Amino acid sequence: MLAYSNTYLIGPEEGGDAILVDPGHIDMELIERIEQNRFTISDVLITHRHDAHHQGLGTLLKIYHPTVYAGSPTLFDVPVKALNDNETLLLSQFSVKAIQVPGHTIDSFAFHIGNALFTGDILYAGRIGNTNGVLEKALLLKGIKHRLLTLDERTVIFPGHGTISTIKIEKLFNHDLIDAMGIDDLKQLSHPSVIT
Amino acid sequence: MFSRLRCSVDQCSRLVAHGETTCYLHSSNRESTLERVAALVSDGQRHHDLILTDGVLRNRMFSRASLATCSFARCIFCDVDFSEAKLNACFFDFCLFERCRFIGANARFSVFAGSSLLDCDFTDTLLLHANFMGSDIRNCDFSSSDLYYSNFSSSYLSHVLFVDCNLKNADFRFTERSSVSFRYSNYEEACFMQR
Repeated sequence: MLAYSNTYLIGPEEGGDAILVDPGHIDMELIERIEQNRFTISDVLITHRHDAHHQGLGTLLKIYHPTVYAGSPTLFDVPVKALNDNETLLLSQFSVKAIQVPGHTIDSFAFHIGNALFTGDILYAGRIGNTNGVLEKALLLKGIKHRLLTLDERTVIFPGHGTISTIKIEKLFNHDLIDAMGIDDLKQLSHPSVIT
Repeated sequence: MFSRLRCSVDQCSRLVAHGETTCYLHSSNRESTLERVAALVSDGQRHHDLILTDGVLRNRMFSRASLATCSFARCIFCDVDFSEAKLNACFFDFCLFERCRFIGANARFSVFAGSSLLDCDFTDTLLLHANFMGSDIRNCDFSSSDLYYSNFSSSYLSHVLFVDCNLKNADFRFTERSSVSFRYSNYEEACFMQR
């Protein structure tokens, strides 16, 4: 049995068009939350191809008619728009920057919205995503280091599985990242007591 | 969600305290800022995006708190009662908690990373997806709590009880542990080893 991923619902306080990130599982609790907030799902962002992150899409599309975005659009049975690296989309009322970080899968994307970063299986609290080999792991670490860890340290990470975190917490306590850091990277680490 | 307005004082990058234009430390009247936020926390109404960083709160009753996406980073909490409180996705990173009570609280998706927790009571608490990474936890009791997908990696645990807890997918990798009890808990479903 597949494990479900975290699903994130993003919408304006007053209700209206909303975004769903990784519809891994659509249940009554989620639908009630969408309806209670007077949201209409206008856009769906899929972080990568693994089923746990989009297997609720069929159910969702029976209720709403969103535009679906993913890195590998041809893999889906429904119409999906292709994402491009560094592309900025205006969805609902939000500016969404798509950041491609391959390694876990070739089509892995993170989505940067305000000071929130939806990382899918690229980066979790305390670990990086699984990879199939050393090359993929090196690619993933390089992408995380250059594309994600360079963001504001207070950026809140919303991963595909597990707890939320921040860039600062990951820099300080994520052993996968610390093990991969060079001396120069370690010199740039700020002590927890340093305000960022 | 997760308001991140910066203090208006030059060179200061701290977050603006709730209802202010500066951070708590640069507030012209710190006591009034602290009391105003504390009153909101304890009024039993649901609040979101409250921010009070670097404050010191002693002997407070926050058991009626209903908070979401609030930030109390680097605060000191001594003898504060959060029992039965709802703390959804709140940030308590790099804080000090001394003799605090969270009995029966719901703190799912909250972040306690880098904090020191001394003599605290987390019994019967919902801590699903809670983040305790890199924290220093001594003489604390998490018994009968739901710690599904919680993360204690890289933390130091001394004299800590996890008796009869749900530890499914809890992360204890890279922890240093002494006198820690997992009795009657499903610790075999937690992660202790580096993969």
